[in-house]
Amino acid sequence: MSGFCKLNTTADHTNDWNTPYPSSPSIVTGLSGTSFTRDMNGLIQDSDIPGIITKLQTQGIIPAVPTQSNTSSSDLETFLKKDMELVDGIKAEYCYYNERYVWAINQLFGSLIGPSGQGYTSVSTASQATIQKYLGASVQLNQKLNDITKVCKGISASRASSIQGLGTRVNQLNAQLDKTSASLTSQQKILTSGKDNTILYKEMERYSQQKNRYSNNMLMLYSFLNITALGLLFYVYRSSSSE
Amino acid sequence: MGNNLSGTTDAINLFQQIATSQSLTSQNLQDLQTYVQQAQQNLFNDVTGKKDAAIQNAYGELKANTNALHGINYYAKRNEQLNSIQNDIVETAQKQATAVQSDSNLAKRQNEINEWEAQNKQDTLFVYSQLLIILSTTVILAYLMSIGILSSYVFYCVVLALVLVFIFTIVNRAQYTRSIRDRRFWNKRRFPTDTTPLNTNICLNATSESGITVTTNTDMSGNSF
Repeated sequence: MSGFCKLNTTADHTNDWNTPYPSSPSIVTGLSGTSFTRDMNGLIQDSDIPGIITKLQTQGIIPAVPTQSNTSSSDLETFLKKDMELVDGIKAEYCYYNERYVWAINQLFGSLIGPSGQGYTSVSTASQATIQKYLGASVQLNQKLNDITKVCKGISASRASSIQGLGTRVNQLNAQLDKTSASLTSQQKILTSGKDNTILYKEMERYSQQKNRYSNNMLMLYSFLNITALGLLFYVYRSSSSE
Repeated sequence: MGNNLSGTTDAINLFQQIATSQSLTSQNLQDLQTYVQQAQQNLFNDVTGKKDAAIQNAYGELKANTNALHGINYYAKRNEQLNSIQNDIVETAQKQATAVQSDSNLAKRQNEINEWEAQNKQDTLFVYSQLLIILSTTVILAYLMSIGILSSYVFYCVVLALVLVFIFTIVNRAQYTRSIRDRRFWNKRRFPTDTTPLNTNICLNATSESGITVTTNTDMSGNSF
């Protein structure tokens, strides 16, 4: 069993084999408040797993996957942190019960083969009681381990469907990004050509302003000439009248 | 999962029976002990090995799916942020484009106004130059009249003609600028527009009386013909 859990083979769990896992999150503790059915082998029915997952999410043992598009970064970080805690917690809880299970199994085998390791020719009442005690402990602990494994698979399946849903959202976001990028490109074109036109029109406006100034100067000149001509006319008229 | 509770109990019962029968039949107790311990170890390894494989599989899957979920969550969040940034940039670019467009339109319109004003001044200049010519001619004719070369009758006729031409020029230009000239472009002319829609029923009535079949079509502007 060294593959998954590190076992302390010398530990004695005589007094604490039945102690629930003390830390949280705890799958077994969460299951104790949930109603479900078991099959003839004592395993949780597959049809009950989704309901159990939902119940555990409500209890806060399994963090709910954020699905809304306006989830803040801090909420996402909180979810990810709690998710990692759940994954590590599942392993820790499994190993906790697994150590007790291995102890119980060893005690059971030991009680079966006897102190000499040669088995019994006949089993006394006391020995039978001991065997039953360790058998009961093994069955209980085995059930807990199976429950944790089943829930683990259920969470994994739930995650897989969440990934599919998120994948759709990511595709939508990608499409939006492409659209916005195209819009940016067209805006850039408008800006570039627009700026050229603006420069042209501004130059044209400057030229027309200059033309206006020249016209003003010409108007002033002609006004002066007209006044001079009028004055001359008046002078000629006065001269001819005085004669 | 391979951890059948009843199967485990059966295996334990069988083991117990084997151990018991072996102890009855075997003469070498040392061999029996070795055999029993070996059987115990094998059974233990079998039971715990299957459990280990099951949890490794389930937990491995859970870790893989969890990592994938976390990755895709980050990906989605990044895309959302990128989208938001891009939208901001598009908004800014749109504002800039609108400003550039507005500047361009303003400059264009100001240019049109300046051109109209310049042309108006040119027209005024024409009137001023005409006045100058008339005044200069009048001065010369007045001098000639004063020295006796030109008679006063001729002088007044010429001056009257010139004044009439001048008045006519002013009235004509003012009236043209007020009613006919385009308000936006100096060199353009305004034409009266008739917005009354054509009455096509007259044509339909006429053709139906003559017995000819007419089909009515409508163009993009909604006019029927």
